[in-house]
Amino acid sequence: MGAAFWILFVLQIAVLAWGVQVILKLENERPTETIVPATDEDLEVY
Amino acid sequence: MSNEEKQQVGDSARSRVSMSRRLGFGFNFVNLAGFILVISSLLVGGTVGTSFPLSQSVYILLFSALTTVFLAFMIGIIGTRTGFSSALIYRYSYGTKGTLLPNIVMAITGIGWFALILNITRDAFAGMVGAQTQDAVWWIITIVFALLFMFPAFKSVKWIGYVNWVASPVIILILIYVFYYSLVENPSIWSKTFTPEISVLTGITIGVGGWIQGAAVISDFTRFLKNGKQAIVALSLTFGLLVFIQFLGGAVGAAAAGDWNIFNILTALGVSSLAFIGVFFGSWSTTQAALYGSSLTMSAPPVPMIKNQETTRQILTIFLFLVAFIGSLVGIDKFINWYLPFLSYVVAPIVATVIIDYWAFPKRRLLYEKGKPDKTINIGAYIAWVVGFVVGYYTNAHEIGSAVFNSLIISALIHYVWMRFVDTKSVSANALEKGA
Repeated sequence: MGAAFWILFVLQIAVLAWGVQVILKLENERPTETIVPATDEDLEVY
Repeated sequence: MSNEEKQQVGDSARSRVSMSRRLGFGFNFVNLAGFILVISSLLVGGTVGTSFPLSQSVYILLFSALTTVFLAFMIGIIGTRTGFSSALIYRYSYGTKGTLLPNIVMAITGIGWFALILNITRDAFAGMVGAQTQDAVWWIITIVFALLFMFPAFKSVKWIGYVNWVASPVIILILIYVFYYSLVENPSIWSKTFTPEISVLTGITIGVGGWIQGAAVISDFTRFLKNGKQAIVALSLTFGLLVFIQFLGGAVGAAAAGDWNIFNILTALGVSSLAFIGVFFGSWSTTQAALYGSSLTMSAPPVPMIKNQETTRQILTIFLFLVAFIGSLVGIDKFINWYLPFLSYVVAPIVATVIIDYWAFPKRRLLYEKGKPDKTINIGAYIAWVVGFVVGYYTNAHEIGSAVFNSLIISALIHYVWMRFVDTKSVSANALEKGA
């Protein structure tokens, strides 16, 4: 396994951690239940 | 709401999944586990395991699993947050008419898998009972297996879950068996070394390619989770941990048996009947999900609604099942070597464009969550798809880096640049007003 692989590996862990952090931040700012209708009565059918 | 009205909504093929229809964490976890616990993952692990020494395979497969879980996060959580199926998400990324391209690609891929896996399972069982091709027993096996594989997809996502409650433990038992006999009985496999004939990056392409299509349609299942935090946990355990364990199971078994094919590995370990049970449930959990995803895709707009959204989904399920069944009879498995390599490069650009469209532009994200699609055809997404496919195909043929990564990165870059600098109105503050 060359050095390039390990650089990619570390980079990937960093990207994954960043992705989780972005998702959690968004969930806290605008939770899913504020986006999706509570019941079927309010659903818009396309 | 009356029972009849509830049935008309069904699995929300043409709308968001409302909070009242979201399912519990345990049910979603088992459903996702059933979706990813498939024999093909063991085959992918086996391929890498025979191409590299085990000490290298572990890291290649870990890298592949981490990539897969990242893609599953970024696509799946769009489904959780918006409640949309993958086809309804593509309407925003590719446009209301432009969505036909990813929809058709994903539907054909899904029914292709259904037909292929039906044939593999039928052939394994026909071989066990000594049935000859086209004789009465052969026909009965084919039709019974096909109907069994179709039924949960026709009914609902809950029925898919019921099958998965059985399928997931069965495959996990097979994995434990493979690990035990390969590692405890034959610990010397860790120290075997040889010079690989393919590069590490090609090994990663094989690993990531095995699950990129699953990541592309994962919204069809994550839309039933209650929030993004639950989705992170469920996807980490399934697309991260279980995918890695499966990959590793295939690699360890291959290192011990010297064969990449899990059926041959289990036969070499003296458990061919266990292999068939595993094949059957692994096949069932995969085929039902493939057909379910295809029917959701093709029952979304611009395909016209028939009566109500659930009737549309169920009619399309039967129609696509018949197409898949014909594919099975034609013998689609004969074309597998031609068909499989294309999948990664056809699907990777779709994954990349959707991720960029939702996650890179806050205004567009708001459009997905609160507004309507703002385009008929998204030219930028189409350019990104074509270039991504060509780059993936070319770099794979010439072994330049990792073809899947090349395809993902170039598609993501092109879509980002197009939306940021060419189609600037779509990412501006008034994008939501235009859509709504």
